[in-house]
Amino acid sequence: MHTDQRARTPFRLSSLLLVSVLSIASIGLVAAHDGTHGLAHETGVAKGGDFTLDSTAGPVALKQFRGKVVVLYFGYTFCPDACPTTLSALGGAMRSLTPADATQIQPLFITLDPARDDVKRMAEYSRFFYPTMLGLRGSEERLAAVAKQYGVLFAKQKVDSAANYVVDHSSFLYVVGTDGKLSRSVPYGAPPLEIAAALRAALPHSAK
Amino acid sequence: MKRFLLAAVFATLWAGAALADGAISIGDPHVRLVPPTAENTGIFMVIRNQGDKDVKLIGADSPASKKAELHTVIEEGGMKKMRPVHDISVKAKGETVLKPGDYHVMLIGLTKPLQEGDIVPLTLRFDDGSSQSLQAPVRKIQVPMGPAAAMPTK
Ligand SMILES: [Cu+2]
Repeated sequence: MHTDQRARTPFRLSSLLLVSVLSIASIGLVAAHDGTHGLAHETGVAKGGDFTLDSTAGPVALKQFRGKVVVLYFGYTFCPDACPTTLSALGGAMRSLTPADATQIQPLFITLDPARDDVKRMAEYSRFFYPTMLGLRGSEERLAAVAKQYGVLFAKQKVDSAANYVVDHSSFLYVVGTDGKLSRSVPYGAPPLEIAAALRAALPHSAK
Repeated sequence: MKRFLLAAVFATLWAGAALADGAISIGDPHVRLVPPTAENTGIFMVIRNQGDKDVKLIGADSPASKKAELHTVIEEGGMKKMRPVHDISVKAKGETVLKPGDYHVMLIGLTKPLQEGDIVPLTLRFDDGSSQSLQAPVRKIQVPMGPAAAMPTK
């Protein structure tokens, strides 16, 4: 289905067809993302789970946040569109929480473009949207593995642009519960109050 | 600086003059504030065409970045895909909105980090041979807090 949509894309695609092996690996999950509203259905497919990636302060493991709620977003700093929009919404959601709740939630931004995003850039970019948000990076292989765990679709795409290439990617926020299990995902475009509600719902002691 | 201001005033007058006899006008141009470490950003606006003929935006230039390109974002196969486009058409007596998740002028390779309130000069070129020079302020991303959708309780 997604292959013939490609043909309808209204501009020149001659140079665009370098879909990475990574996306092919996760292509089976496409259907789970289509037409998803509210709670994503793909949580049944993607199991989430532990990972360790790099930050400016050294390795960061999901495990070290056990007891907190973790909210994950996958994207890249070269992206002027979906990523800043979603991270702004997440920042707004965090600021709408009580300070007590906010300290129980760890936002993480994970790059899908390790070639251009180093840990320093990821740290500064993430902090801009919320002071405690951490920016994480890993090798292409490790990032592909984490993306797959969470059902994130992405594909490096060569474009006829000064940007050289872009990274197509799905755009969900993933909420990991205090037990480290993927509890729900929030689709692109959810307003901050909806994201905040999803975060509070994962906190055991929050006033719902 | 004085010379720059004068140039800006002149450009504004010129844009006004172009509007008077031309058909194209630009509403609410603004640049998206991104982190200082970001290399790129997007410019959004409404392009109105009061004329009787369709026009196409075919290019953009700005001193704020190495390159300004016309882009769109499509949603396909569950992914957001940003792509360059050759032009952005505006129907006769119509308007086209450049907005997040859709058409935008993309500034690639910002020459210096932009701050809220900075003014970015931008020139737009159209297929009728006309062009428009404008000043787009840098604005924080506004995300409406929105109603919290009823969260299904599980
Ligand atoms: Cu763009």
